[in-house]
Amino acid sequence: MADARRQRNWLNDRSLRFKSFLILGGTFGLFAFTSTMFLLNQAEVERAQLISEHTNTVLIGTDDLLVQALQQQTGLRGFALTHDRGFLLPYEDGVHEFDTRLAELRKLTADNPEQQARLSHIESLMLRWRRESATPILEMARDPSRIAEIVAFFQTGRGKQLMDELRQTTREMIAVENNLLAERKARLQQRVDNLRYLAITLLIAGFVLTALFLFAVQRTLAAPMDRLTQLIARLTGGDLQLDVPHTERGDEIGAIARALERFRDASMLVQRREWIKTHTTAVGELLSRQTRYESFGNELLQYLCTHVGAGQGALFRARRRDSGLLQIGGYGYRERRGESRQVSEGLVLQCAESGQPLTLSPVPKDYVRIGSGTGEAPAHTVYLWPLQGIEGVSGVIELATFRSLTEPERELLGEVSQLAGLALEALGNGLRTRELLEETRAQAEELQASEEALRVQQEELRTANEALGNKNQTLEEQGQRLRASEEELRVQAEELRSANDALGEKSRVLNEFNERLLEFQKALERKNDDLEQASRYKSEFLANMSHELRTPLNSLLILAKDLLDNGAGNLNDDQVESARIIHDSGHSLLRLINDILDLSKIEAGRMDVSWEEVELDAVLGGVERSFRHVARERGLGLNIDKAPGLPAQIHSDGAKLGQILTNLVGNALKFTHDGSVTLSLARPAAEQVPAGRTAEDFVAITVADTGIGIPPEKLGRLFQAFEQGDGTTSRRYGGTGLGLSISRGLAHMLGGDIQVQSTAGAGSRFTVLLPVRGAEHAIVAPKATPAPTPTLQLTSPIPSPTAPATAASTVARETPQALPDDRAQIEPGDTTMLVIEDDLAFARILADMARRKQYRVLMATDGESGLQLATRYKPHGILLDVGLPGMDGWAVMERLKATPATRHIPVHFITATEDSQRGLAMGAVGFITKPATRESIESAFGRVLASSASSRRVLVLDDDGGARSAIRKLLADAPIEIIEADSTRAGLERLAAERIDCVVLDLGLPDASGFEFLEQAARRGPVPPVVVYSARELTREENLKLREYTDSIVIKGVQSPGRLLDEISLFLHAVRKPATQATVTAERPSDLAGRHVLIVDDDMRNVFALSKALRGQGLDVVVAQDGRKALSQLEMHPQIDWVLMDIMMPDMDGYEATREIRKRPEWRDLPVIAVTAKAMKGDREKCLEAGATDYLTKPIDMDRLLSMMRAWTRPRG
Amino acid sequence: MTDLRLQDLEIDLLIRALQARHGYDFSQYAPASFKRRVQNLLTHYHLDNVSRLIELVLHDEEQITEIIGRLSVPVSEFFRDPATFATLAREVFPTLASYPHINIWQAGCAHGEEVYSLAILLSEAGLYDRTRIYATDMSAQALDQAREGIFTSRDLKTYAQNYLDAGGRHTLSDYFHARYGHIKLDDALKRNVMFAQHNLASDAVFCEAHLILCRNVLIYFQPPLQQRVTGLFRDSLVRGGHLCLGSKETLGPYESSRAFALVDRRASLYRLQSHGG
Repeated sequence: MADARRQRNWLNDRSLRFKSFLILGGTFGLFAFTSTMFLLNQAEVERAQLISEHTNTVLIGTDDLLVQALQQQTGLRGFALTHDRGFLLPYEDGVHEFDTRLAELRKLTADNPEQQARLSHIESLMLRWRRESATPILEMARDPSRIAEIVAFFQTGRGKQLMDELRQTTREMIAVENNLLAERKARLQQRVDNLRYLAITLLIAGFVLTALFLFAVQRTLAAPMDRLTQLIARLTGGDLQLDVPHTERGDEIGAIARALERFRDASMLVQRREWIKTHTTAVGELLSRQTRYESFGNELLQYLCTHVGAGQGALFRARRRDSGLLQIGGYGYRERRGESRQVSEGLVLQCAESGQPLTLSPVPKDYVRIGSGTGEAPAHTVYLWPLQGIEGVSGVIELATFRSLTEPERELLGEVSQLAGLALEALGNGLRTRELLEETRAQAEELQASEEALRVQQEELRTANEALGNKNQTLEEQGQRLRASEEELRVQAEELRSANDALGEKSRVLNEFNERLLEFQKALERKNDDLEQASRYKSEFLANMSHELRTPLNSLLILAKDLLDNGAGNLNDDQVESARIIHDSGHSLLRLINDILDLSKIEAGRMDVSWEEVELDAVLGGVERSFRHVARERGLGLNIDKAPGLPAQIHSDGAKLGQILTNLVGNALKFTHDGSVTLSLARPAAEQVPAGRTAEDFVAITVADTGIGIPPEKLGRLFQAFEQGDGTTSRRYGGTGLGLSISRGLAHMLGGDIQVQSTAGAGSRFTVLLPVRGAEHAIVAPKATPAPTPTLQLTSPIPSPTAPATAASTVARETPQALPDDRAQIEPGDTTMLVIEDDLAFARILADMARRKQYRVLMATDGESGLQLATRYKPHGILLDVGLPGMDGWAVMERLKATPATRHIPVHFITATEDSQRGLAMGAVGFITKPATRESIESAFGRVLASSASSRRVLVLDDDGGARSAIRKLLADAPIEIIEADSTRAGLERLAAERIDCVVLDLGLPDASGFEFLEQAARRGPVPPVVVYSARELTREENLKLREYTDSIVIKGVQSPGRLLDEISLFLHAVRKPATQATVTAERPSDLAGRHVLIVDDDMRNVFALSKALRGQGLDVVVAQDGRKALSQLEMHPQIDWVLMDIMMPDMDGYEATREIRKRPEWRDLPVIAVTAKAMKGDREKCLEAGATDYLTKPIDMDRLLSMMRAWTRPRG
Repeated sequence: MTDLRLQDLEIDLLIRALQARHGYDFSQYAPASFKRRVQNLLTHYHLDNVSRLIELVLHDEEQITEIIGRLSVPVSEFFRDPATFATLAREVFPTLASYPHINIWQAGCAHGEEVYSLAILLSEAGLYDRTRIYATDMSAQALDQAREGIFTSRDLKTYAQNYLDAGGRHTLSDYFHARYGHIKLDDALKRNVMFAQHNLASDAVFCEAHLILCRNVLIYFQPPLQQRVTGLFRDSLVRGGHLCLGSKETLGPYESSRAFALVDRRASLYRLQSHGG
């Protein structure tokens, strides 16, 4: 087989020409061989034929020879027998022919010596025949005689013998020649047979050869050609993945195959080029779209990795200015993840610096792992490829693969890296350009902005300038006005002077007249004064009398009641009855006095109305209850009649209303002998309502009786004090005659009125008209301000020399000379008392009383001089009036407390004003309202000196002795007694045992915290002012908690001792009351009592004030400082009925908190009242939009808040 | 009617439109300044006259924030008048330190430069953690900017110097990141700042403040409004609390000013008298 192959290979290596030569040559050779063989055989046959002919010729010649010889013998024998010469001619021809034939035969058989020999033998036989037989006979036949001799001779037979021998020899010769001819014929036949065999052989050989050739051609040419043709077809069809056979062959097929192979390779190259080009183009397009490094990196890697089958990739960008590279993209990058990772060493940098690609293969198993969701494996090869830009290497791409990259892939990588290098560079440049552009734009914007800022600054400057200018202008204008008025004045003066002259005369006349007029006026004024004085006397007398009477009456009543109760049981009935009479009479007397006082108060406008919601039923019921038994006793009917459709409540003063009705019903019962008294409640008739109002604004309470009635002429004076229907009435019916005056006064104060209709003898109807909504619908405007001078004064009726009208001019006045005081006599150790009082008489009383107590007295009649004296002499106490000319008592108090030098001086108010709360709140040690009693003044002295003499007592509650002594040192200069305690328990004990004016509290105490101290102290009773002095920082919650007890919280620090001192002083000199004592007095438990309200506000002050006011209403208050806490509070307290939601809060504001609340189904209907400082137009809408139920602006009007809460009360369930 | 008087009339109408449509009351603003701001608005919107602006105010709900923003004068810089800040740190901070929690009201905070300045100084004084700064302004737009805390770095040099002059202990750059020509203040600086819209002309007291800064705001107001605002400040401050006005401003001769005592004239620093409350 190998041989065959080799042979085929050998054959395959021969050229086609050779092969065709070989075939043609073979064919031709065979043909030539065949031809030659035929030619050769032909010649042989020809020669054999020739030889046969020759033999035939020889045979014929031999025959001829024999004939000739016989002819000679015949001719001789005729001549010899006839002796005719005519016989002698055939002889002679024979002889000649014989010789010719012989020569011819000799010539023909020259090659056959045997025949030659025979011929020679024939010749010799002839010759011997001729000489021995022919010659002698011829001679004997010439003589006809001799015939007998001739016959004799013949008889001898000599001639015949020779002839027989000759014949024999010829026969022999012919036989030889015939043999030869047969031999030759056989040889010729063989030759022809040979030729036939040859032809057959050649035919077979030719056939075989042809078959061989055909096979070879098929095998070595046609089949490969076919195969190649197919390949060409496939190649042209684009299928390049094929093996080209026969390329090893040396022949044309090999050449074609090789050419085909080259074609394929070229095509593949083209295709690869195409592939690379396509991807490069795609990458180029992809990259050109990128505007950021990161997307550039990621997109490039994404593309590359998916197209070259890399499992991981990273792209690094060469940094523009610094060395090192920055990672700007990753693909399948797991470990060491992180954008913009900086690379300043390692192969990446090496690759970037050298600009040569690096291949690491195979990398160690732990070098890098490529992973997917389902598994991971170590990478096989890591490629690092520099991205070549124009300015150098612009980046490096790193790929990790499971296999080596193929050549085209590497080539693609190379191409792409170049492209990417340029693109990256371009991107960098682009980015920088953009940056620059951005910068430029930013600069432009900035320029614009700075222009704007400049404009705005200018605006501010201009505005400020304008403000200054305005002030200037105002000043200038004022100056101008001043100058103008000066000028005017001058002109007027001039005019006046001239007019004066002219008037001089007239005025003299007029003067006289004037003087007279003046006298008259003075007389009038005197009279007027007298009148006023008389009126005042009356009031004062009344007040005085009632006052003076009330004091003994008080004890009388108490004692009488005591007796009446007969506690000891040692009185008999008569005596008890007497006691009752004493008590009742005393009571009547007291009522009278009270009435007088009330009346004077009403007249002086000093009666206070406390507005509230008044249940009409309750009032009427009360009146009915208190008179029911009286009516029954007197046998009268007392009916209550109520029209439908009336409000259940009106805004009024229940107590006053009760007083009015009591009065009216009392009167009615009193003046009715039989019949009934009807108390009816209805809408007023239209004619009763003042113009401009509707009946709906009012209710009318009518007291109708069937009594004696009032004559018409008395009706007019009915409401005047001390008037009754009849002068004698009082004696008959009792009563003070003040009731109606007081009732009408009260009705006026409540914004209503009392109307009366009466027929003498038939009864009276008193109708009280009251506005439903209180003062808003008042019929008669309540007296707005109290009368300027108190109607009732204890003092002597000397008119004040410093009437308010002249106060302004006397502001800076020194102490009036009229009031000598002891300033000159003050010696160290003296107790001094400063009296600031503009009422000289009263001042003198005070001074006398003080002097009697051995005090030195300083007197001032106005605030300014009082302050001067206080500052200069630092008295031990100050008695201060409020109604001072110029600076009033409140202002004096403020100034006193604001000045450190006078802050500690105890101040006692003695004043006609009744605002004792204000006075005490300002830090007064006491407050007595004129009329003052001697005792009250004495007690005032006592209080003043007590608080002055006995220094204030401060409890310092701190477990640290050092801290306590520091505070002690701090307070050393102040007249303060310091009590120390080091634990909550000790502190509480001291608090219980002693009078403490102020507590300085450290929060960190050993046994219980400061908070607990406060809680426990509060439980035991009123807590003195507390100043928390803590080194601890407080949470907002703690702060809020403390806030219930104090808002004086000082955190220890550099500045804190100063502030601590401030805070303590504020309390000690009672500039203000501690928070807990400023509590609003609890009103009567309202209808809201027991309900729960959540206050959400970060403003602690507001929270505190609100919660206090609401607690005063009996509400349960929960507090949260922001929206988030509000939600958790709501969760903790599901019983909450309202939420008061502040809007401006940190963390979660009110809008958001409200929205959050509304998200919860259980709170969907919870009333949320937004409470906000914002009063802008949209704010209300915003609150309601957020889900608030209602909206209230700060500062909060409690009435509005309460009514809002009432309106939004959820049914309890 | 002359053009000038016509414009006055229009401005009057504009003020009424703003009031009636949106509740912003500019009637008590200094007229000359207000007029200039209006002029500015006209330029901004390319409007021919104030009536067009009124139309915008009435009909374009979108624009009102912008208009209000542009009617206020948001000028400030970091540590403006550094001496004032130094005075605050020296005079007021020790007092603030003695309170468990400190509330500061920055009224008219504009873009918030002073809020952040204050926050920086408070941080350095170790007080910021227990401080809450209420930064209010009438303009929602200004507040948004203030909340962002991004400022141009154009005047950074001045700011840095101001900061040092105000007694800053580090460098200003510790408190911001600069980028793209802007600085972004540390978010930590605004963690205790509450930015809220509050109109001094109409809204009420909303917090108890230990220190109120209201610098260069009163100059834009007419006396009645100044008086109202002074009253707000008085009611908001705790006793002994401080009020700091712009260096060119003083408290006017109002009833509400009487409660204040001048502490430092250069810093326009006042203190509420203890008995005032």
